[in-house]
Amino acid sequence: MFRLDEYKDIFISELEDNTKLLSDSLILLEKNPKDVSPLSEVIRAAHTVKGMAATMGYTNLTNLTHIVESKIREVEQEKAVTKSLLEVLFQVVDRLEQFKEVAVEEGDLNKVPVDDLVQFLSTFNLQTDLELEQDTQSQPSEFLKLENRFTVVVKFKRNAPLLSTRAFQLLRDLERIAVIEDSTPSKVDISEGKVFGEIHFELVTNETEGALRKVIEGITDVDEVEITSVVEEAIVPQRQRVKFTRGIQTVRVNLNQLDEVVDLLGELVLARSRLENHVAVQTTPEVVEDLNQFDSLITTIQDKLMKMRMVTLARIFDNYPRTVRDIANKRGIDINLFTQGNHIELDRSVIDQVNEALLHLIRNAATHGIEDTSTRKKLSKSKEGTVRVIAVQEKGEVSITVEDDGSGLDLERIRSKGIELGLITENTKLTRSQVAALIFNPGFSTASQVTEAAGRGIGMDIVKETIEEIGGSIQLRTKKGEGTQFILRVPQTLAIIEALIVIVNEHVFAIPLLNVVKIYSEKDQEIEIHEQESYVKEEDYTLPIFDLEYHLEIPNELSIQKKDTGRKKSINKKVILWEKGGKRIAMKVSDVLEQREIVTKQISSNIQQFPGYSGATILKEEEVVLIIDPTTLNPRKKIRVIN
Amino acid sequence: MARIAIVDDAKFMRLVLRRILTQAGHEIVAEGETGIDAVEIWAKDKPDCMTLDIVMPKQNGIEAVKQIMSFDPSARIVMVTALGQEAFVLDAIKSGAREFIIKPFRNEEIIKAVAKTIAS
Repeated sequence: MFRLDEYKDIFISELEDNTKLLSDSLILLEKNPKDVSPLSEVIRAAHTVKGMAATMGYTNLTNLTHIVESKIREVEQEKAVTKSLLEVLFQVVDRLEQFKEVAVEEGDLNKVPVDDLVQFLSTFNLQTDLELEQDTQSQPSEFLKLENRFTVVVKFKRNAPLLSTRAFQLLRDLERIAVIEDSTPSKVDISEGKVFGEIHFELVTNETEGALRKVIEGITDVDEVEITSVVEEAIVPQRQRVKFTRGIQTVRVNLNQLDEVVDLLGELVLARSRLENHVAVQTTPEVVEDLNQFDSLITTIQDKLMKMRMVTLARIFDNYPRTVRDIANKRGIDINLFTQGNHIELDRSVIDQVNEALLHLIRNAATHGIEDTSTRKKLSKSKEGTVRVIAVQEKGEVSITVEDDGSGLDLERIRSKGIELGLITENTKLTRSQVAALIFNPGFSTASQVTEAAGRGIGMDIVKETIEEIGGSIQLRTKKGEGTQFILRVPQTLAIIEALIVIVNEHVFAIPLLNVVKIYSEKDQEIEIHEQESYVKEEDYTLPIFDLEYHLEIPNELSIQKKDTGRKKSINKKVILWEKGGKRIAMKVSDVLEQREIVTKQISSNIQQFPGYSGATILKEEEVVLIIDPTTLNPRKKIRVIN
Repeated sequence: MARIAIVDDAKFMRLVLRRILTQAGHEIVAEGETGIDAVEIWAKDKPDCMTLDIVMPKQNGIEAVKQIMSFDPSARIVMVTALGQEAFVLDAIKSGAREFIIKPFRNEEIIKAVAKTIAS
């Protein structure tokens, strides 16, 4: 079943080539309808696409190309084409492009509508159409000269008073005798008085040019009138017009561009808060209301952008059959791969990491999990091994299970390797799953042979790290002789923020950069240090400095690793001027390490009872790092908030 | 010629308009000072054309235009306005006034505007 997917890339590129061939042939036919030789290319293109589409099970595409092929074969006999036929064939080109778009986006090709085109083509009769076309040509006046079309440019006298009102009068009077199809400025602008200088109109009317001129010149202060008659191309008679429905409309956007927009939105948030500061002095309810509206707009745009960044798992799942097949061929065994949940969406920044982890797990399963055919036979297992990749959508999370029906992990060997690596001692008592979890430790490899597929790839420790980096988790279940199951849980979208990584009492914390106004060094002249209390003195305010080393409670049960900064007492302490919702707080930290993007996670309720934290993140070194939010610090502990 | 009504809160302006339009051969059938007068005159005298000031006490010219149009959409009204009332004039035209002239105006301007309005 997955074999077809392997051909998808080839299918897409072939579809692309043949669509171009079709389009090029049509352009030739349009230029010179007397030479019908390009029709054979049209047939060839339709035929090729039809063949592929039928193989892939794309019924709609098959039907469309079939009708094109058979109709054009008929037409080729007559050695003639009509305008309306070419018009429809161009619509076919558009539709094929749409099919390609949908294929690229991993959508359902059978949802692209074709009925309108199929119906038109199946009832199309070349002879009737040729007659109709001749009729149209012999009686042009009836069909073509229904209305006179003019381009009109009106200039008003320089410095004419109330020019915009004159313009409105002009619009009013013109609309009595003509249909205005377009104008610059627009009709709306004209009726709102937004006119400066001259006006251009595109209009159709039954009146003559002279009558038109008389009306325009009747407007006070009109200086110059320029009227040009527009000769229109033959209007296709009504009964011949086909209404085409438009299907899914998509635009492909470079992901970098989308990321840039996300970045710009971040800038916008910053600009907004700067603006808020500027107007804070003389704020009014209107300003507050506008700023609130600003906020809700930003949030909406953020949501929409997040949706745009979502990609389906199919994008990565489609590569796995080939991976598994290659390994199976190399080992000379049979492995079936089943994937489920291909339609589930993940943020594109998560999907690469998920792919990296999954690929490694799948390779491991195919290389080490599934036994040789002879072994499986001895164990009276099915000849073919099975690897399943199952994605399930959960609340705000996606769980992806990778399981195999292979030999399972050898817990005895893992245990002894753990002892060897010094992770546990001979006497350490561990549950089965605790033993299995040892493989997530760095440097662990249970494979007896270092094979190309798994040995040189990333280790299980890196799989775990990769998943945790994006705020996910990994679990493992295994049973000897029956198989192994890895369960990945990853967030569907990421809340990524820029943060300042700081040290307080040798512990690492993060402070959202958005809230950081300024960073002072203790030696800066704005910093006044007294025995009791220290201050930040700026021109327009003085703030007491709160030393986080004394005020921040650090939850003990959290295994926050101490950061070895290389110096026992940091001599280069920093004061961070922090601001949120108009509140400013100056806080002293032991040191500032770096600025980086972090993924925010909710903190557990245990930690929530400690004041001063808004969330947590996990840094590369597997450290859980708390995000500081000083507004919630305990006021009894001398933290003062100044408005 | 035509039967014309003049509505303006300034007596001087009514005098000027009456003189110019009479000299041009028109007959002045009524005069008023407020928007309310304008509506009453239109209902009672049904003139061929009315010159109407925009800024007037009690009821302004735009309101008067709207009310007149509500019972006589074919009414021919020329707004007489001072500069700086651009937005009001546009409103008046949107409400149905056919023409407008700006004070101070030259004699032929008002004559032309009235003639055009009557012909429309």
